[in-house]
Amino acid sequence: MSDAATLGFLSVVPPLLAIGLAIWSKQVYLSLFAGIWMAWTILSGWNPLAGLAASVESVVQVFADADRTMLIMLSVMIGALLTFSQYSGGMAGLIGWLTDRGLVRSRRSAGFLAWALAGVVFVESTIGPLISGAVTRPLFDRLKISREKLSYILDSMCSPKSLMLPLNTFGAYIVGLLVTQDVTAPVGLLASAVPLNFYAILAVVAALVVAVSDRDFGPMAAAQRRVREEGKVLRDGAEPLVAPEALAVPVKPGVRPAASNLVIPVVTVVSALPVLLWVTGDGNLMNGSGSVSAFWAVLLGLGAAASLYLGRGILSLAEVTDMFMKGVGALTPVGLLLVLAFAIGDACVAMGTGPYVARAAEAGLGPPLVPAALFAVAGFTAFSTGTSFGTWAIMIPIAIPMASLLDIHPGLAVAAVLGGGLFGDHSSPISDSTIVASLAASADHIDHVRTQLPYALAIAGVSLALYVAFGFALSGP
Amino acid sequence: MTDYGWLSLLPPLVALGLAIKTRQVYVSLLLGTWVGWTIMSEWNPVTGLIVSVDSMVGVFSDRGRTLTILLTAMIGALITFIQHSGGVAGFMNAIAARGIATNRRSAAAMAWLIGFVIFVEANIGVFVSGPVSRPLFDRLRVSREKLAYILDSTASAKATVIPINSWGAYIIGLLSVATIDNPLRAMLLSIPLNLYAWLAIGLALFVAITDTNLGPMKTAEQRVRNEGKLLRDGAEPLVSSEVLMLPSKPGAPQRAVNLVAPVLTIVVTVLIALYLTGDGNPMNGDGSASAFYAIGTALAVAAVLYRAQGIMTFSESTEMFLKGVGGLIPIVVLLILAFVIGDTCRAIGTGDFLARAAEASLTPGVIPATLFVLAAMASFATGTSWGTWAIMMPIGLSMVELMGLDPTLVIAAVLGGGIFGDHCSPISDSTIISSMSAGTDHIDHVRTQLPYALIAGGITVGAYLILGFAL
Repeated sequence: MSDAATLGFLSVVPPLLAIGLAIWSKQVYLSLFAGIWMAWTILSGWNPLAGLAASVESVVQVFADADRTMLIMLSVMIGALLTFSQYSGGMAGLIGWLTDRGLVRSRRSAGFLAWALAGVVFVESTIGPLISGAVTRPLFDRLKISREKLSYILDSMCSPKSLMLPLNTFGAYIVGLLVTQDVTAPVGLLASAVPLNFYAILAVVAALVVAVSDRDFGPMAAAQRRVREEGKVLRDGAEPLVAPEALAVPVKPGVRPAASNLVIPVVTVVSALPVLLWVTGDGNLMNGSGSVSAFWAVLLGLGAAASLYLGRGILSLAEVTDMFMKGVGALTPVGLLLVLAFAIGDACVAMGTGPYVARAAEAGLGPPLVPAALFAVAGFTAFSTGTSFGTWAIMIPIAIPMASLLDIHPGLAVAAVLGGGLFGDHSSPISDSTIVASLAASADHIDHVRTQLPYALAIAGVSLALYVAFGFALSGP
Repeated sequence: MTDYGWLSLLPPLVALGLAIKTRQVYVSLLLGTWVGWTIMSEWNPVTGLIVSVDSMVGVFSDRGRTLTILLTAMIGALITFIQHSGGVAGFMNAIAARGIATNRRSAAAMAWLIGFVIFVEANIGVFVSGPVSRPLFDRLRVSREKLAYILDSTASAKATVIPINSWGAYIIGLLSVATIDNPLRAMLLSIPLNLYAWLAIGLALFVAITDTNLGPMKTAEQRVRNEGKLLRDGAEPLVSSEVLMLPSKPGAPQRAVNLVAPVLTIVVTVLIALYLTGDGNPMNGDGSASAFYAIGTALAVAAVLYRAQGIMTFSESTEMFLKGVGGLIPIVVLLILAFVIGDTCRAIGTGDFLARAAEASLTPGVIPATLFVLAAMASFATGTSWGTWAIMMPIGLSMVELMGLDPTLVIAAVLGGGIFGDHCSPISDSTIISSMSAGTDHIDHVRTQLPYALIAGGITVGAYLILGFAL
């Protein structure tokens, strides 16, 4: 094994290779695996066979961590929640209910509904977008709005929303990171960072503006034109992230659509989550275990759905099992992407990618420019590694000492790191929330990334300018 | 460790009883596990549930088990590959075009051989052999029942005696639970002693070549010969197997090489990988890792081969990979539950309790035969060999430990017992698939096959009694 510290620029090559290949070939799985292989080949002294063996081991090792295994399991089990709610007529019932209200008649109101539904469940980052996608996708299709736009709206409401009101796993995680840096009032520091987290605020607002104004630019405008002129919600040859069978599970013949068959399981998930966070946090929501709580919340939701359908005599036990398998099977692609995303994250840690990038940026910057630099570095790191949590884990320990040493507003420094991580989480093709958004909207993953990137970059540019301005305004004596 | 006494029997009994009554294997195994952990959590069902779920997540913390689960899913992808590329269709055409079989005996022998030779998965040989042999059988006036019997006898039985497939990986997985230091070696050594599997395969070949018939099969054969009726009047043949098979990609050339090349790659790679991971001795090799590399290499070879012929682009290969993996989710879930109930039985001491009970009342010599009979009854009642092994293997291995028995004989007895039910139970998937592939009435198939299965089972019991006392 080479010493991680001596790899230098080489440590950035594998994530760059994965991202470059993914964007060029549109083969996410193969690109990620190529990046992982490259990383472990470098680490194995340029022996590609040893690198391959180490890559396979690293994939297996992903499961050795119970939290990750639970995240992977719960992600694929959400597929079962989708098939359940469709086959039982719950989805049809809810869509019928929403349509009967006349809530959505126009493209703008459909966009707003998608935005609002995704945002309303703030206790967990991905469940809101998943529900919103399932409910609004048929509306979007009918009103001829591209799947790309849906996935953009959902993605913007995935992680950014979770930091606007961080009463969730995001908040708990960040507080945990701050505590390790001996911050005396971590919750207060996080609270002071929330209004300075420009990227999160702008991403949420931009998604709303795009949704209700129906204006697009760049690849998104091209996608919208395609839908309007040719009626194609997906590009020809696009591969939507969920197998079509799972999306189009017909309502079981003879079952009367009822919204409650969807609402009860979903409410179970949503209400179980804070309770579970409270229980796993020993009475403090903020200390709860995110993965364990979400995992159990999904399990309870599935249990509630199964009991409901069995109790109402809608489905037999055999049908419940069958739908479970079908839903989980349909989400296999997501499971695989998560495994590969974790594995490449581990490879980055092993190579010291994050510390290298941080060191490179640290050199030769004036204090007022540090918040902007932190944002840029965190953004680049998160985009390269696809993980906001991982980026924060590397960058927070760098930002806090820098802030106190260089006399920078600590809230601003923390916000810059958080925002930078969100940018990568939001826009990187290998980020799990980007994947979840593609999945919830049933969009081609690469198309989603491509159409969303101009928006994310525009917001990041504005955020960067704001950090420069605030850096000069808030720092120094 | 607390001694739970007869309570330790509850988890497997609940699982088995429910499986027999409801035919819902997953729910039954889950409930058996829950009952087990509830008992161990001082009868607190909530704690029991939490521990049960934790133990499911915990399955993945074991490298060997994770490898087994991943590779089983990848085998699904390989099967999808081979079918989509037209390899299966090409293989079938290649055999049909040879015109080898000209009489009843050679036709039956050919049906047997095709079923036996495709060992990458239990049922795929049945799928291939049925449609190829059926027209020959019909023309040569051999009953559909006989075809179904020959196919069924080679299905699961050959997958355990040539374990270069998910069956081997699964068995290794079950054996690594226990205090077996070399699961691969233990499995390989148990193969010659898996008498039921060998007898089922051998008896089917014997029947095919000698045209010997007995019992209901004799009646069926006479019906075909005298009246020319391939099916009994009023028989309802199951849907033809073509429905179940993934069709070739439209326009794909049907070339046998697209099946043969990936399969050969597996065999060659697994041997090389075993040699390398075993530091020169394949018997000490890392079984699950080697199988994982072999399947991975075969997938890569297939993808490149299909790409070179212009059959599938890499993006189609990715799609087929995910489709295949997604299709095997039920087996993945079954694997997880199997590992979990095994862990539960070990934790609660089912095997120890049974072993002590057996020690008190039985001589060690009758243990292999008893285990075989119990496993056979369980698999016949549930229709699943994998589910039966999941429950019986930990019990059998505990007995080995406690009573100082020969582990290979016990492993073989449990495996053979599971195969018995898988072979002849009317609710086993391989029995159903054989009926489909042969285009026969399912109950007719079960009825005509049972005497042969019972003969093989009877001989096996006798032999295990002798071996049990001898070893």
